[in-house]
Amino acid sequence: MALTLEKTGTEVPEIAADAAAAAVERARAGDARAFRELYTRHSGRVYALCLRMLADPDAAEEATQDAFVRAWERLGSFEGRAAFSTWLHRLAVNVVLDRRRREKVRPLDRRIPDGDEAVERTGGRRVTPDAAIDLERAIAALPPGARTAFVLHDVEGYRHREIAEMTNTAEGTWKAQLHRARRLLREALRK
Amino acid sequence: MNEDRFEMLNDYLDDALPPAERAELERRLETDAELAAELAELRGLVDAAAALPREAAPRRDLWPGIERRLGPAKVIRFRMPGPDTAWRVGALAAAAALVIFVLMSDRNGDAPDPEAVQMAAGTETAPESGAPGGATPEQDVSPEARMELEYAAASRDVLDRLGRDEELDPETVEVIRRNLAIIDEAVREIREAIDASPDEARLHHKLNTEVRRRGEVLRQAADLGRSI
Repeated sequence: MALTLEKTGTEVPEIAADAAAAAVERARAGDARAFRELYTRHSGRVYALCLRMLADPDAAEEATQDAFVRAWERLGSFEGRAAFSTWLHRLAVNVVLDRRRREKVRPLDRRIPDGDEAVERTGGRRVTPDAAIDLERAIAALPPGARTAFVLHDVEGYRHREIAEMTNTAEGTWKAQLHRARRLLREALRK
Repeated sequence: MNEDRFEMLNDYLDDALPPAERAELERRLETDAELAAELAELRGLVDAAAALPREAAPRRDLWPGIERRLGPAKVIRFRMPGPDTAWRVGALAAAAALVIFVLMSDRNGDAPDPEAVQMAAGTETAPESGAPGGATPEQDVSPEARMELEYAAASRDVLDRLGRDEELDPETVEVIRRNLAIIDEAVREIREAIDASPDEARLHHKLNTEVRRRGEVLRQAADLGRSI
């Protein structure tokens, strides 16, 4: 018996899923070691999300840390209605958006990850296709609003309604930003 | 590609076209090779985005920086009940109170009114005349009871401050008040259950969860007061 992760299709043995749920429970009870297990399990995805949204490895590392600290502080409010990973990723998105609102992140610091940094780890494979790296660079070069829309919708799979809820902004705004992002990316990748 | 055409292809890909327009576009795609090529290019971009790696490794271990910031909450640890369970629950509750106070002590030094806390906790300075036989708080108030009193004072202080704020909708304050009351009731019931069954690990776990939840609600309420 195994569970299948929605986005990646990766199969997780039930015993691993149980262990993950147990780690969440122990962390909710204040066990920092259990929380470290959660960090180990989820930090790669949270960091990838922050890196794509911020296009700056330093800022992404700080945002990842902020997201986990906020998760620790708010674990008491996690009621298990959604998967822990879903809750954590939403929280990370909010951390990034808060950060952007607060600091007006350095505009397009183009320290884009090189191939090794963008290595795929899912399933133990190391895949670094040139096309993916080109796309990563093009995403990083997008204006912040368009980048946010593209990363959340097309990479992370959020719907416009969900993005609008998270950002307290009209759906139409994000739809327009997404279309703008796709247009800019298409032009960038044609070059 | 003109703007309308590009929008239409995007909506088609995102399944956002009304059925009639979708059917019309599909008819055109069968005969318009240029349009079909544009759609294929756009679809390729969307598919490539969905196939991007889900994970990336930070350049350094981020855990030490996180662990340093976990702060006082680290002392809130659930343990299986043992002979000293009562002491542990008290320590747990006191630690949770500490978390509340640390979280509430904002950067502007806008901490809960210490006088109110002292008064509620029974730790205010005794009057000159001094009540005869007045015991020190350490002697007659358990850590757990003191935590409850301190929490009650902090909670009252935050709600009072929010209530006085003219820019805040009174309904919002009422919602916060109701939420805290619900959690308070849950904490009270769990404590009663623990008194009846002190070895029930599940109850201690629930108590810990509710105390954390209560601290979080209060922290958010305090944040609300600061952000207005």
